[in-house]
Amino acid sequence: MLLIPCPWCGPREDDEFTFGGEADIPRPADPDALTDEQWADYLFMRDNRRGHHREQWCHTAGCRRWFVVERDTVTNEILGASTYGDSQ
Amino acid sequence: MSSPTPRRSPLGAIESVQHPPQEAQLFERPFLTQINLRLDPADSEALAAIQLVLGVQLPLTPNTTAAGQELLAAWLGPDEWLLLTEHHQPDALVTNLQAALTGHFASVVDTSAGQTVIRLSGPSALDVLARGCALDLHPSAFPPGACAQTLLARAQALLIAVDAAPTFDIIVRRSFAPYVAAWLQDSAHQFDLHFPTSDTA
Repeated sequence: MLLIPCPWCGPREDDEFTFGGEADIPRPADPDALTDEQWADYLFMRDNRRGHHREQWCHTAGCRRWFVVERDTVTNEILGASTYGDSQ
Repeated sequence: MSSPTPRRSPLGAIESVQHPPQEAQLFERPFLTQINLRLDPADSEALAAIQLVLGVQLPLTPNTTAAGQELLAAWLGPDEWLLLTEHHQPDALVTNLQAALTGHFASVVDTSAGQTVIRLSGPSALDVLARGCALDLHPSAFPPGACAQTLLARAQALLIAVDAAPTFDIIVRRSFAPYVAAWLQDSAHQFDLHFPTSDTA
């Protein structure tokens, strides 16, 4: 079990959360200008990092907010959490 | 003109139980007015307008409630609250809130018929809940006035600490209510649960 620190509600068990994949992938400002390859890269391609990873989680059963968690994918250690406002 | 359809509370059909009140006590608080309110907490003008209507300041600290004379406001999210009251009719309160929020980016939704409130109290309430909830609900960690949305027996629930008896209000969706009530009865079985229900307003 992971104990995930929701920036609002504090540490809660992972049953309450939904995983949202890699964080920090901005939507292209002008999608029409992209090639199919570039669009597919934005839509589908994700890093599969070993170690430090920034990822999105939603506190589904709690405050229902999305936020960013930093996690070590090898040890599952949670290194921190931040709201989108904090991380910009 | 035909008579209006009688209201039925989500737990109104459950047979009342058995033992006189001893340790754990469980009953439904049917037909409370429940309003979901969303607005930008940075909009101080909207917050002030809401305070005028409700007589209570919306709690901005996560997982806390604010109690007024006639109404309880529970924090659901950084821009979301649940208003609970038995002193205001839903329609009138929604109208007043909408009028107060004219021109502000906000949402007022009546959820009274969609959820119900189950009250659990008594010294064994903590043991009853601990069987299906991972949160530390001891008054030292979850004092009266605290609230939390979490999973209770895998059902989404809002828990509110009412007093240090301890007493909890458990707010669940209407469709989950019979399941949650049955689960609470099962969990509380060894404590001689008392669970009267009320059918009508």
